[in-house]
Amino acid sequence: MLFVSAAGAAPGYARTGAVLGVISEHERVTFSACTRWLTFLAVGLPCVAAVIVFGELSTGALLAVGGIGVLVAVVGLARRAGEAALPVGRRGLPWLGWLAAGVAWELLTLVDDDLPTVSDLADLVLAHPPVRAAATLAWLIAGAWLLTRPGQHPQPP
Amino acid sequence: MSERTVSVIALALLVITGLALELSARRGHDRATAAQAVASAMRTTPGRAMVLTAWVWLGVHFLAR
Repeated sequence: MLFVSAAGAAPGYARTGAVLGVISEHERVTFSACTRWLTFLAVGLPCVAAVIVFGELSTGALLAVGGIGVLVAVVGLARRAGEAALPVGRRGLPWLGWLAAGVAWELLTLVDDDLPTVSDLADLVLAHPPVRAAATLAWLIAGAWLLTRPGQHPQPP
Repeated sequence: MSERTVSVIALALLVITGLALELSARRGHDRATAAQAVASAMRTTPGRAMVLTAWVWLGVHFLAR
């Protein structure tokens, strides 16, 4: 009797457990996404503010950007961000060529004093605080994106 | 043509080429998108270190130097 009762109750418990599991998973995902957003805002907003307030060529901006940069790099390396990303193989070669062309042009401008570098041209645009703030935000979003690349490979059962 | 104009044209060409590559990849041609290529470069530890270092350098160089 006990066996029958247990056997009869088991599917219900299993279903309830599965539903609770899905809810728990949903809560965990929501909580995780919320935590990520709060972390991003807590780290990002002071950085954007520091870059705007301290301005170009300032120690304050260097500390803010450099500090967050090093922090993100260390966390990314420790979490092995991107380790489980899908390989692209030869499909990525055009981007390698594009990058090589960009680096080659930058080197050429560094050798030739008459040609302005990317930095020289960008400085004119980034001198405006709103543009500088937008660029800092874009840089931070790129860093957050790099950190959230899939990390560990799934372990076989 | 001044050196400044030459530099602007070269950079504009680079940006346009990048946009064309991205559009081509998104339209289903046999190419990776920029995001896929960067993520793929992060699969190994040296690649990950290079990508993250490049990101830090971009920030420090353009925003804080």
